[in-house]
Amino acid sequence: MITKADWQAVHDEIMAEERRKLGEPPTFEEALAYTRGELSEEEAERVRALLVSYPELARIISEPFPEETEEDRELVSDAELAERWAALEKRIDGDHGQAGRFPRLWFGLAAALAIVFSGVVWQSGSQSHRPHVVALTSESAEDFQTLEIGGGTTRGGAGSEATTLEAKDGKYHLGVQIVGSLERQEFRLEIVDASDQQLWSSAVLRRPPTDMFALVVPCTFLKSGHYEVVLHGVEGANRERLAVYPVRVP
Amino acid sequence: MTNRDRYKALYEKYFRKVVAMYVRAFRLSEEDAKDLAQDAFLRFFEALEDYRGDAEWAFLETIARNVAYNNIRSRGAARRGGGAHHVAIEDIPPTREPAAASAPDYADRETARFLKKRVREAIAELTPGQQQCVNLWADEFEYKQIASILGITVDAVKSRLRDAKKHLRKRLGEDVAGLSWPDDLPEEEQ
Repeated sequence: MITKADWQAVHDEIMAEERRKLGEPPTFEEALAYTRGELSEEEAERVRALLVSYPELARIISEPFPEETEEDRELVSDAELAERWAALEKRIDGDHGQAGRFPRLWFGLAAALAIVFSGVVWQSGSQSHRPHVVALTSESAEDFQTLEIGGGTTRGGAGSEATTLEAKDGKYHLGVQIVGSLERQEFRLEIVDASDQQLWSSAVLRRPPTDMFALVVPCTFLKSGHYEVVLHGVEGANRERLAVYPVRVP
Repeated sequence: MTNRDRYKALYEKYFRKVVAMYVRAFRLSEEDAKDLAQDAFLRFFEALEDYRGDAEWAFLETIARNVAYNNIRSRGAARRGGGAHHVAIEDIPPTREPAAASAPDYADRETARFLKKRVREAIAELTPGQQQCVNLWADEFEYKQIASILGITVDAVKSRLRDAKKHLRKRLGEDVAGLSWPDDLPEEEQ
């Protein structure tokens, strides 16, 4: 007889194979757009399949908030709460000093999410506070700083490989050259920080006539440090990382 | 009340709640949950400068989900590795302990392998929608969550599970008795 354990073993094998086949899990923005019905049918199908294959992420999107119980107080004692508050204050005062330096993306994201999770209508962050891709013309091309492709898997750590960004009018104007097969027509851009935490992801982008994406990033979006702009090729349900462009914000 | 006082009051009011969410709903370890909750509150503090509303909890909850999502996603990315080339995907460990597949002798091992093969073949014959419902059910999601993830109604979830159960029973016979199906599936269509 097939036992429950056998069933679970088969299920785990199937899930592992699906993840290998489908690739990286959806970004939080993609998952959010999916829950709000903002994706094309094809994109929605891709994200849906990915969420099923990465149940730990699906759980974060779908799990309702548990009611408070008495046991919750036992999770964190009063003494620990006070200690953690002191530690948090140190981080706030030490790392962030000035309020408002954190990218406004978080406010925009949280506000947008609140619409999904609580029905509260918020005023989300405006487009000008977030990275966005613009049309590159022959006139504007000169204003854009072409990024260099990084070598191997090092995360800008070598420093010398990372492009140092130059601000203009409070923004970084970045030229991301498309690489790979000329037949590929759809792409995504992503910005990740030094710990591979995704900060921003674009929608699916069509190949422009110039074969270069013009990415505008508000200076307030990135603190000093190392980041990566990542170019992904998109083909139906599949996504392939094509190039990584390490950058440094002085 | 200064902004810092306001923030401290919110921290004392909601920190345990965020930790509890991470532990009970997202199944993180207590230590990971507490560290991640700190990160969430840090983001909350920085975003609070721009917030002028009264529903701080809803605001914080969305930030907490975002922080947890990115953290778990990043852990998976670290396991998978990365670079400028096609990403080599590695398995994310299952959420449960794997079934003990070893058997005392060759005959038992072969029987177990044969049964698993039958189950896999039967599952492969389900429609994609049925497979997705079954997979999420196997990962211990409830009807409402499955409906939310797949963008369908709860009734549609139950129908798909019912049809999947019917097919698997037909293909696997009495062997399907070991599977845990929900008790409240609609009656099978004749």
